[in-house]
Amino acid sequence: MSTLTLESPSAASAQARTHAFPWLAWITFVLMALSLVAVFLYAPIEKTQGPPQKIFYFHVPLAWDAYLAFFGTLVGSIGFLRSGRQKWDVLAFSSAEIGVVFTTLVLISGSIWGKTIWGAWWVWDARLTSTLVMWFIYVAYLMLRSSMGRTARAARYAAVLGIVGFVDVPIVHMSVTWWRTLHPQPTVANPAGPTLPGDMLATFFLCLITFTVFFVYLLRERMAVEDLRQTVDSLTARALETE
Amino acid sequence: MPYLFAAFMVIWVGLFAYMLYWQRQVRDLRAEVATLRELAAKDARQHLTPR
Repeated sequence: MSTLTLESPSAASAQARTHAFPWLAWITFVLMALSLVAVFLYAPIEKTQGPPQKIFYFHVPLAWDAYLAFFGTLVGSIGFLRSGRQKWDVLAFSSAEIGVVFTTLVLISGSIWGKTIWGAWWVWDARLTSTLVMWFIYVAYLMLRSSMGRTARAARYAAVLGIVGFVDVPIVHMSVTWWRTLHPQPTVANPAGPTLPGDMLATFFLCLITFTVFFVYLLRERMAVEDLRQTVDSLTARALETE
Repeated sequence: MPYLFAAFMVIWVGLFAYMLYWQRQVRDLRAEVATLRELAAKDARQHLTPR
């Protein structure tokens, strides 16, 4: 004869944490505005490629965010398999979802950029192909989660996929060095130092910081939503038990 | 130039669509919480009523 209550600490904290980062949202908004100004008004137009080269300022930070997201999935998956604590699973799942969104945007923006400089929307180049494989791996991760429901077994299987799938991330990153590709070589993370002029480099780093902050904001919010959903699920189960 | 704007449009529309999707999830979850709260209040009243 238990009485259903919504005053549990987890329910209260989950509700409080949803939209609990307005300051982070504002910082992201200001940084985004500054980034757009820098990209369109400050950064010079590259001589060979012309204006489409400016896609670089958002394309690369999006890819960086995807790496960060999948690293979050790796950390969350390892944490969940070691401890069995749900907070790690929430981190893994939320990161994977955000990573898939960012990878989708990387593939689309890269394809548009490719059309302008290679004359083709898609080429089976090592970087593009390995990125597409990475996208498929994490889409499979999300499909596994949605098809198996919110069970501990689904979380365990997904954690294994989250760890194994991360193997592709360094392959994606190193693909332009390991294989001969159409994709440009690293211009910033170059062993010999950045090859970009100062104003382009400053704009790039501003965009990189902006998208990193944006990623942190999205992840915190997404985790709060997931936390709230798990609380609602457990309360619904308890409500059904009391009926 | 059209390619540059197309790329930026895709990125922004994609990000806003994702944020909108997740805002809808928050709204649905809040509605569920409200329903559960009502159920909880009803359940508590039933326990307080002398039989």
